[in-house]
Amino acid sequence: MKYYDFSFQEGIVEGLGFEHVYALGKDISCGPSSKERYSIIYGKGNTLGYFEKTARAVVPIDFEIGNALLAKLREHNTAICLPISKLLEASGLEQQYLLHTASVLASKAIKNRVRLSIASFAQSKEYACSPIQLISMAKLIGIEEMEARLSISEVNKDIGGTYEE
Amino acid sequence: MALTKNKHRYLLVRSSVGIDALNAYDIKKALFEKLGMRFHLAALKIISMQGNYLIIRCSLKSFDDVVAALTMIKNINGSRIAFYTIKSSGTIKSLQKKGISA
Repeated sequence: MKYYDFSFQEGIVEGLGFEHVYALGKDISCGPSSKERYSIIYGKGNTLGYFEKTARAVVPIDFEIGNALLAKLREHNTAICLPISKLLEASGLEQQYLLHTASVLASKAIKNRVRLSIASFAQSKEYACSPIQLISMAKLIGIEEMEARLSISEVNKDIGGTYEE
Repeated sequence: MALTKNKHRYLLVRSSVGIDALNAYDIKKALFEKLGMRFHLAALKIISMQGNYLIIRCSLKSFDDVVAALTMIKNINGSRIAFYTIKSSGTIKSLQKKGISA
């Protein structure tokens, strides 16, 4: 699977198990046999319930996470990563619905003190976002500027960094 | 009565495909579709269009709305296109400097 992102963090991509990255105008191939594979879980909100304790982040592609899972995420200090490209791929009423669910999830995460991360998770060049665009989209879903800047810098670096058990 | 100065931001935007076939009206129309009733507050002006790059001026207050609207544009006149906001600045001179250094 290919992965396109401007705000690319090495560990994030390897954690997802993606093999190819297009970032900052460069094509980067990731090794298929990485120790960090699948430490970031990507899927629909209701399938994320049985996440491993070692996971560094969960990516709910439908922006829906239950309160029980939020409590678990807080307990294990696991971040929620918001895939902005999913908002861009939708259109019309579906896009408005996703924007609403994303804003609800963001406010719930901030309220429960769960770390938020923002990345584009685009799988084609058209849906990739520059950091300025990621911050604007985060503001659109109701995240404050400082929080958004932290999400794309420190939290993303933390997720992408080497994991210590 | 003292008039407040309207502050602007200049955006350096790169498109995924060449924009020679498009004109400023097409881009403004696409932005209008995304911004809706807030379009007039944005005070948009397309300063220049060259190759894959364009410079857009907007009001400081609606900067985030314009960037988000640009992000959401995925087709113009039936052809697929994506815009990436690369730099932003308060003056066109510094934007050009930043653009050259980038």
